[in-house]
Amino acid sequence: MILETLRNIPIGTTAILTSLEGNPVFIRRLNEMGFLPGTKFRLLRRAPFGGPVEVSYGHTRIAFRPDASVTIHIHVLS
Amino acid sequence: MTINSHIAFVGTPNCGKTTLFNVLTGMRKKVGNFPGITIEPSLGNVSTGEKSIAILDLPGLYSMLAASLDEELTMQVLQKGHPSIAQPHGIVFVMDATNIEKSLYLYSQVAELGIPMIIALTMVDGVKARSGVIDDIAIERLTGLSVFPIVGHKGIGLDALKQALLQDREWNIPNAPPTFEEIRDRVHWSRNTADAVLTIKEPDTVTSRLDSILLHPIGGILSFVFIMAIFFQSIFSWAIPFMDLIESGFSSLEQLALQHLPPGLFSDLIARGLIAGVGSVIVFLPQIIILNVFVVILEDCGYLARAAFLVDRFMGIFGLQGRSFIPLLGSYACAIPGIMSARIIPSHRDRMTTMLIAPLMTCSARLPVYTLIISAFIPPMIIGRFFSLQAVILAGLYILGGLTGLLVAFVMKKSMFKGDVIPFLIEFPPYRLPSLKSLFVTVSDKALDFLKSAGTVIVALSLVLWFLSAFPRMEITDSIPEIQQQQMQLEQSYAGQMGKAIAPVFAPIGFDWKLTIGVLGSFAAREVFVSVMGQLYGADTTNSDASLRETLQQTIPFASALSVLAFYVYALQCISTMGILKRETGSWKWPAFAFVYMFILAYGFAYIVHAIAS
Ligand SMILES: Nc1nc2c(ncn2[C@@H]2O[C@H](COP(=O)(O)OP(=O)(O)O)[C@@H](O)[C@H]2O)c(=O)[nH]1
Ligand SMILES: [Mg+2]
Repeated sequence: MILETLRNIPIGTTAILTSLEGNPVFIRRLNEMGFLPGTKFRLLRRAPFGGPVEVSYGHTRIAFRPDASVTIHIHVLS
Repeated sequence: MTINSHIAFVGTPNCGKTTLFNVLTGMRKKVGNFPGITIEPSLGNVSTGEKSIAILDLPGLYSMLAASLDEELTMQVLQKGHPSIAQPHGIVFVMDATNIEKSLYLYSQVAELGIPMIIALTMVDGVKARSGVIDDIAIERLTGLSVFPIVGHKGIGLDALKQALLQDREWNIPNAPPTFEEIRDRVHWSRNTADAVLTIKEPDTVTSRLDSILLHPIGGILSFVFIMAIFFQSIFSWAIPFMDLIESGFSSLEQLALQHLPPGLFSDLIARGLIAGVGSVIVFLPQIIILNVFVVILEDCGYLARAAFLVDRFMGIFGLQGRSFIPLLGSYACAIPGIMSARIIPSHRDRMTTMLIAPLMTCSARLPVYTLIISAFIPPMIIGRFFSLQAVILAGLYILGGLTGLLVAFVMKKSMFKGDVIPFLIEFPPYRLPSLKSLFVTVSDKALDFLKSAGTVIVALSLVLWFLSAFPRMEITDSIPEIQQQQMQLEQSYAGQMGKAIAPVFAPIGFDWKLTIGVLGSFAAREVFVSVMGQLYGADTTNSDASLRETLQQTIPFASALSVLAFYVYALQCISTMGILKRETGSWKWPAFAFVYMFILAYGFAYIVHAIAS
């Protein structure tokens, strides 16, 4: 199953990032932080009222706003 | 100014760079003027015995492919030097042992520059606390550099590092890192290298436990509100006794000068011009210090990033990011420290927007004007059984300021400050204990900087205002009571003449020439409105404004009074705010812009209110 956004999946979900499209600087920075296609990550939490999300992978935890400038494709594992 | 012989500290955000810099060098000196940068590059000195070396602190960065003005500056200085900062002769790479992967990523790019380097390995206590081991020998072998494990806030390992900085043989060109085709390759290299040099057995339970409370959907919001309430209370209330002390101190000084200097122009200049002007600068210090202590502690302990996460959605409605919340909340006490604290916002456009709307937040200096007019003109009625009409109007004015500010931000972010390089993206640092010494250095640095760069502007502008209200001199016979003397002098002065000359401009919003002068005079600071009005109406306001209230009730029409209220909600009636805006944006263009747009808002709103009320 491929989902368009991180918005719909429940907290605690593990997924694999399949692709990032859109805002090139934002995507480059996500990549530099190690959030690359193929990365297995867990959705840790979401800020209240549909704010930013926090994900963890490896030893890294990052939070970001999945705004309209990027499209994030993921493959849900569990 | 160009610094010729210096070394630079470089590292990822939150790697402990500022702490290390502060404990090594103590006081620092600003280098050049970089209004867009969150951490201004500054220069400190390290010396042992006869040798000494200049150290440059640069903003932290994740990568040499810059994504913000901060990163761009650091990158530019390192790659080829900046017009005001030469390329450093050596780099102390500050490597965070608990976040070694990100550090190695940046390291692999910095090492390509071929500049001699030394590695300071910080946070080694953090690794131990999680029963981990960091292999500094392996890092030495890999990089070909001297590696110094340290614990910055405790001062462990600092002496060895300090000695090394001053010895040529400790400085080496790093081994050439592998060449990478893609970001992915570099990421993999840093990940693999990190796994080879660092083993951490236990997760950071302190951080994950605290986060499960502080970022909890409900608990997170409650604790956020609680922390912000204390923050606001501290600048709004705890600062008051200190401010009162400073104010009464300076007014006694003023009295002393008036009594002991021969009466005349000179004593007036010293007392009402200079002493009052300096006093009006010093009085901001308590709020500036308290607010900065709070912001630095919140930032260093790691909470600020979380707070930004929590309110990002709300601020996002208005086109801003979470970090704008704190400067705006602070501006409800006073826009001066609020605008200063906007440096916590990494996005330049968000920071400009936040600073330009900060003066619309209802600062405490508006309160005396509001209470004077409300108590004189609004009947103390109870509406809906429970609410006093006066209180409802006061609360309305407070909310109106903030709401309008956010709407203006929305417009600015849609037009002049459109877009962002990147939306909100943050790596949560582990919760850490802030270092007291570093806190002290940072805060006293900010306070001194305020006195030096904004304070001088504010005193100069106060002197101009004094001149306008003290000249031309009138011959006044001593038989007239003092209050009337002041009244006549003010009317005759340039300020008075200007007030009369531009009164027609304010006539459509119901101001007569006296109200116009009151508004002009209060440009020194909004709260001066009360004493200027006192002088104009010949009422003694030294102890209470009761007599002024009565005079106003009898002489000002109701619609004009409401119009004054409306005007003060929006007008940028504060030279100190303009002074700090100049300082933080680097040019007079922005304070002038803020003044004009706020004046238009104020005039327009006052016009509507006046038209409805009359
Ligand atoms: N445990 C530990 N904490 C540190 C160390 N160095 C700095 N800190 C803390 O880490 C936080 C961030 O440090 P700071 O110097 O502001 O990082 P910067 O963003 O790189 O300037 C502060 O709370 C410091 O007190 C260290 O060696 N060990
Ligand atoms: Mg810091």
